Amino acid sequence: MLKITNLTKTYGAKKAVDDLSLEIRAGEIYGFIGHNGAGKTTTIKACCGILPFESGEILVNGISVKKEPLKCKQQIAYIPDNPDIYDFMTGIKYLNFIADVYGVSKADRESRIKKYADLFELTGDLAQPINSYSHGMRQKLAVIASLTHEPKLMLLDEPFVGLDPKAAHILKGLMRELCNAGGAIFFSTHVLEVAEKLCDKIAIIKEGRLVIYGPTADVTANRSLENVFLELEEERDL
Amino acid sequence: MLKQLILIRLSAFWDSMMRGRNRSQAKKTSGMAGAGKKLLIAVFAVYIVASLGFSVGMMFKQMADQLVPMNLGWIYFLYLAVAVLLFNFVGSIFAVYSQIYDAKDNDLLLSMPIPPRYILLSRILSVLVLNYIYAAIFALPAGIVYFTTARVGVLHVAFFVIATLALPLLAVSVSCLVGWLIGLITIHFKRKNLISSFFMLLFFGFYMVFMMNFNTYLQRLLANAEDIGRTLSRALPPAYSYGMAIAQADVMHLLLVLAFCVIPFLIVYLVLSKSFVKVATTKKGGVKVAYVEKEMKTGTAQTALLKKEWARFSSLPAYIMNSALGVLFEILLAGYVLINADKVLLMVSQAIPLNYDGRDILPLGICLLLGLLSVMNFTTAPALSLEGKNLQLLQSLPVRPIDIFNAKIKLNIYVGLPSIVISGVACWIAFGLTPVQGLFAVLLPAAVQSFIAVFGMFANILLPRFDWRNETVAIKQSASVLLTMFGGVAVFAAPAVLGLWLLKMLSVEAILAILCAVFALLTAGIYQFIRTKGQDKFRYM
Repeated sequence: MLKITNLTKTYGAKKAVDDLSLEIRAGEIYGFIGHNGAGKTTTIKACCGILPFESGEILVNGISVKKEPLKCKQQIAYIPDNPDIYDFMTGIKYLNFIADVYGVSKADRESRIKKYADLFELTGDLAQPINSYSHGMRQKLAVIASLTHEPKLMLLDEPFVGLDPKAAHILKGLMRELCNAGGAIFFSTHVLEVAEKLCDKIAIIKEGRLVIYGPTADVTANRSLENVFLELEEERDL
Repeated sequence: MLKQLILIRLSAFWDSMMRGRNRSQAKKTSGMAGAGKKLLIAVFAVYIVASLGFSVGMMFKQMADQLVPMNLGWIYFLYLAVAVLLFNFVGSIFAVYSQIYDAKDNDLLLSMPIPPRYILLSRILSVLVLNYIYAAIFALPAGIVYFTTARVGVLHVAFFVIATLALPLLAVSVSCLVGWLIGLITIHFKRKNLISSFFMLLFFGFYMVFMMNFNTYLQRLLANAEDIGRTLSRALPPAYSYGMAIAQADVMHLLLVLAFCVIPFLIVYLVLSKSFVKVATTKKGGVKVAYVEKEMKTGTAQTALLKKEWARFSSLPAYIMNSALGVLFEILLAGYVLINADKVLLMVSQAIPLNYDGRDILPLGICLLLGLLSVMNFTTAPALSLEGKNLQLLQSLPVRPIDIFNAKIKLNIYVGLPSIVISGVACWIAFGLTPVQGLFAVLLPAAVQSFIAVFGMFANILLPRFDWRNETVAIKQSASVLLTMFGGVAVFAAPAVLGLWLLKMLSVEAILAILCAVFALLTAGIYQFIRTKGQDKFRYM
């Protein structure tokens, strides 16, 4: 579903992502872990076609992000680490805007918006302007918007930040549902317990390079993910 | 602590003037590029200061020449005080609201061990600095003109400095009160932005009426200086005392000016500092609107982008006021010419010749004037900058950059077009233009409007600014807006001058057709850049 090959992205002289290769297959939830500034957000943004990159290739369902960004974006849903969405719109107008951009039919958008807004208990607030929303409500709206076009691949940057425990639980369920239906999810998180329980595979990135990746059980090798991560961080400090 | 807060406010103000980058440029500007930018800003600042100083100076020179020999210097300064107070009030009222009552860092600062009165004082002082800048625009040229004309003693100059420094305190006090009232009124309304737009238009309307009739007022004042002065002195005692303190070097009146300005300032500060925490933490959510499920309407991605642009435009009063002022002028002009066509014709004939080489050139003048008004509608100039933190959301969507640009350009044209048609048709009827000339009264402004729309987009692609915390920075203080405003006028002037030159050999209609073609070509050329390099630039923003 998502194939990253030798991705390199630099900012000036600094290599934010250095020769990174990773493959996420259909049906997989892939966790992406690293310290602040390790290159997680840069990688995710490059996969979404937001950030141009110097070398390497990213394929979404076999389509190159570089060569055919629109075709790739049509299959992707991206949730940024900070839900900065259009403050001047109401919730429902924003959802309609996203549905129009992705070309979602009237019947599909009506049923999906109703389904997910009810699920996240946001229906009552959809007529409110987004600037009156709390951080959590914005995050919920971003999640609902990302699901309106039934993406095949979800790229999520810290999706649980700001969500209340119930909404976080619902999102985890939806992520699994999407993968069971043949989709894939690649998401970054600092909540290692969530990653350990939710992810089929995990990749740990350090200073732009992958240090370990594979099935969760292989990465943790009977230890906690927290211990694995901290050991790798200590190695970095030495 | 207070000093730190004030320094932070001032550095934020300075920063908002000097900084402005997109992510690809953020760390690059140094050396020559940085120096070039500073030089450009310096040249621009000198130009603005010199032109403003000159026009204000000329205005006050007229008054000084008449009032000083009559020993009516107090009326001269009374008028200066009125101008400073009015300009300060109009200029700071919305700054007061956003800086004091609606500041985004209130929660952060209130969580720190800082007395709320210090936070409030630092905010008020930053508005005061803004007011001193506004006051200087009038006071400096007026002071120089008066003291070089009247040749009075040092005491007069000292009193002028002291009284002028006190004057903005009164304006800030009134602005704080009115800002608080606006906040109080708008909190109960669902469409706060509409109310803010209404207040803005109201203030702007007063300002425009005053400026449009300024010459009449000035003539009336000069003819009946003493009577008007006496009336104003009763209505505005602080302005009267200001005039007397400086013109007569009267200590009593100087003390009165200080009392009129400092005491209200202290009272307002004390009252606000008591209620600042409450004001700053009051939930401004307004009335909650219940969501009712309705049948949804579908549209294309392009329509969705255009609707989004419209939603942003209509939600920001400052955006409307700054980027679509031509619409207001065009509608005012349409109404005015339909009622007073003869008067306008007389005024125009006094200002410029209506005949050239035996030919009536009024239609050309009208079309050029309408074209010039269209230059003032440039919603595209800050449109990309206004994406701010939402830029990456836009970049993640399955739309081409050109679709995004097109939506912004279309909005600009759609906003400008109705008033172009209204004003063009009004002039057609009022001045009895021929059908062909009437058609050009619509076509030329429409061609200019299309040109300004793509030119603004072009400027914003070259000079985007995404680091703002308040939209006003992108709308008013960004380089792309300044480039479009002044560059647009300059680019408009060149073909207009060409048109006047062509009068020797071509008919008015032929010149208008050539001008339309020139603007259409310019539009196509710039659009081609946007379509090619513009799209590439967008991908790297």
